[in-house]
Amino acid sequence: MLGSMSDAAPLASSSDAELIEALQARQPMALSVLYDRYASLVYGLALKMMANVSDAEDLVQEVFVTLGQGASYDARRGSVSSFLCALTRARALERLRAQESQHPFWKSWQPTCSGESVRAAPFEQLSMEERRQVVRAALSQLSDNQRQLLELLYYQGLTQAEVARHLRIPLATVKSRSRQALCQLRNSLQTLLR
Amino acid sequence: MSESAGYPLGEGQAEEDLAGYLLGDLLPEEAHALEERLQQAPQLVAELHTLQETLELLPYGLPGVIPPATLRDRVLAAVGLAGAPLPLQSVLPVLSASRFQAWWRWLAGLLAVALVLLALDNWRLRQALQLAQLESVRELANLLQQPGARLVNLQGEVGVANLLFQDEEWQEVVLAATDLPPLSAGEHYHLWLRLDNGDILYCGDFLVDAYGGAMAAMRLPRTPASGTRAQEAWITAQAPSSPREPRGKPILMGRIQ
Repeated sequence: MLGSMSDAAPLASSSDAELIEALQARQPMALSVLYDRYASLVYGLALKMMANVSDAEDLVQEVFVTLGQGASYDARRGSVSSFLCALTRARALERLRAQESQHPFWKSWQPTCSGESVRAAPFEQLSMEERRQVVRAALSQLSDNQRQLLELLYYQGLTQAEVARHLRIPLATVKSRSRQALCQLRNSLQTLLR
Repeated sequence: MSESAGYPLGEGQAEEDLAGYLLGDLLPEEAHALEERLQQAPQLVAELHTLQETLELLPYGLPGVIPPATLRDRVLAAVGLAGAPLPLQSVLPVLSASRFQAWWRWLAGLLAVALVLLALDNWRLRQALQLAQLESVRELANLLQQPGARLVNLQGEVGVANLLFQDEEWQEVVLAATDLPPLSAGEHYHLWLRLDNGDILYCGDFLVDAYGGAMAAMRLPRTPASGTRAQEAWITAQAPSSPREPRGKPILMGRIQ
């Protein structure tokens, strides 16, 4: 145990990028630091989507083991936090639905994302609680309809046509509202993302 | 719409197109056309990244949920790490009884549900589900009470905690807290119980992680008098003292019905 603690101690204050580098340099202890940093976020998302404690736990394990294997994270695509959320969401949807083809969102953009590096955003300098506060504040600026749409699209993985049927509103309305909601959210948070 | 999206022409439209692309609402030919534009316009790719990042921030709007400690062990064991130190080291006595460990595992799953229900404040449902939320908590509390387990919610101006214990063995308690404010140097959070005979029992003290979260199993240092019942639980932030006595204003309080 003492050996483990001495391994972990220097990593505890490392940035996410440094921890990923440590993982890639075969320092698995970095995973324990990342887990302690993001398990609450990932578990909350997993519970929200799976609505089942056992499945949520399995999903969290799968996500962090995937991260620990260091196979798929690419810093050019964004932060570790967003990677974990995207991975959790994608794996949750895989589990919830067999036909992944119903969910073009995510898959389609990925091939285009190569090239320039992504700078560490100010958002990553905030504590977890501060991050929650700014996101909640940004979400509170959306209308109830906009938030509902994003929730259905993100957490339930519904297509826009499914959302339109679910809410009994025209598809064009779903499209315009959800686009505006995402753009408005992005504008609210843009100083933290650049 | 955006004043800083960085497009020379049609900024708002370009941003909405990218949002539509991410949200999967473009027609195949529209998506193909946009992908061709992305190949030629690095600023569009950067904007796409930003929108993607924005979307992935949505889970930060969910209530924080503390995963069960056993899950951390499972994850680390799966990558060949066993016994990695926890971020917070409880100063509480370690419970080693296998009976309690089994009880802990049973409660850990329910505790996660309890935390979700108690902290449920997500946007769309916040107002509509206030009453339903209370009903759910009550149902869960009833469920927990079936085999003699009790769930007590502690609330204050900042943070929330849930206390789980068994009626007949309530000298053993499990505490899960989240969003507690940072402690001053030298301070610990202390959990106290007030008994119906007026006694105040020190249950244990704990530290929180960087996010104000803690999960701790505690064994009361002093066995309560036979036949007494706990009426109230509260948490203070104070430096450890001897003898143990509560000081300062409670951070969280809860009635034990």
